[in-house]
Amino acid sequence: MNEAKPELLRGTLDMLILKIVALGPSHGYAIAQRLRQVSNDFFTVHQGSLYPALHRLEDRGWLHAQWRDTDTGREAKFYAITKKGRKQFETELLGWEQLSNAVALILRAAE
Amino acid sequence: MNWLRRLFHKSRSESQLDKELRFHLEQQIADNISAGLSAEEARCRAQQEFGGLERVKEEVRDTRWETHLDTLTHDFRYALRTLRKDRRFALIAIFTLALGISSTTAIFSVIDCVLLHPFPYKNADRLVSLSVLAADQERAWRFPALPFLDFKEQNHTFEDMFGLVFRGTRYVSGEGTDEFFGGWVTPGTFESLGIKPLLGRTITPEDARPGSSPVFVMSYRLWSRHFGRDPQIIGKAIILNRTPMTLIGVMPRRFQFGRGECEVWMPLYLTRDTFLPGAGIEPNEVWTVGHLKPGVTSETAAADLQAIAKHFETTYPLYFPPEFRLGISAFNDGYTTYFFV
Repeated sequence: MNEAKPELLRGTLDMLILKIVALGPSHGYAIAQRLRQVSNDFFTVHQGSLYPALHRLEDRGWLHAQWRDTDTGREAKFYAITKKGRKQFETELLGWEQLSNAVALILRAAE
Repeated sequence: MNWLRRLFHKSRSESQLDKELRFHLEQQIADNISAGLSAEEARCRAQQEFGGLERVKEEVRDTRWETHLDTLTHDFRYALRTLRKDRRFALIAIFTLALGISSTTAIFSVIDCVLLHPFPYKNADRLVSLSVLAADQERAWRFPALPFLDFKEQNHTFEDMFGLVFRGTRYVSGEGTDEFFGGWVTPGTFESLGIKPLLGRTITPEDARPGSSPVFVMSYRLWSRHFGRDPQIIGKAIILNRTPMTLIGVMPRRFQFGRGECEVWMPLYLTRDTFLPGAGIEPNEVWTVGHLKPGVTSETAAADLQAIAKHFETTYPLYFPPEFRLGISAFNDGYTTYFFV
């Protein structure tokens, strides 16, 4: 299916989920779709990774879940970001930027 | 507290998880259909992509810690079932554990009391008691007040020396008469032992001064036996041997000084011409205890005292028999040796 696509770096999935949910409350399926669309089909998140991550983030109090009706009138579990989740996202983003800067520096120096 | 709620509403959280995942699956199918696939094909593709509902559920459950609690409960139940199946084995296992735990505890408490903290007294390693050894190895642990004072005043090897005179004590209460041993202690005994009272205060040299009102200190055992461990009792007058005496303190549970059964301690005013009330010579015999100066061996101390006691053989023949020797015994000895025998 997606053999050519790289695995998500460990820990980055949490950050990406937080980012997408921060744009507006969404259910699991929508989050998966958004991840794929926004990354131009680069990332496909498997359900076996997505749902454990969603539940974990909810447990930590970074996401808040609520059952609501979708546009099509079906009931779905919507995840919204909490204040704590926003703070966590900022921290993770900072860490990510530092990491990617450092990696970029090394790669450039090696040229 | 999500996990707590889930622990008590397990079936609800399970059905919600099922609902959530099914929604995802159906949404995928709907999207596949609108992309132009047939209903059958859309379902197949979606399921293939999803990779098994149960497997995803299992992965979600794995992130929750109450799952681990659940596993633990299962293990525990399994252990109980196994034990019930073979009762004889269960009994032997329980008995072995009980025996092991209880004997370890018992041995440790003995070691703690006897070897590690035999006496909680100050400088207990230098604490010795005096005895008089007759030529036939007969040993007496007490002698009159006058030799005690000679030893106390003239020795060069002791840091302090103090003593106790035993006396039978009678306490009459509403429940009847109780008789036990009491000890008259020389001034400074409690300071030398360095034990703080549980309640109130201990006896000071001022208490022993002639004319001061009679006071006493009580053991934890007596306090429990007769006074229901009432802390309000400090300062009250209690009649001992028909004499009202003020209770000034209660000693801690493990404190003991004198014979094992001493229950009360009173101040003893000891002078060369003191003769304590109470018939006979017996009440005037002092059981003598003291701290050796640091670095002094019991042999040196014995020789020191022997020199003071040169004339005792003729002065107090009743207590110092011909060719007597003075014995200096470490306070711990009598107790620790018993343990090893």
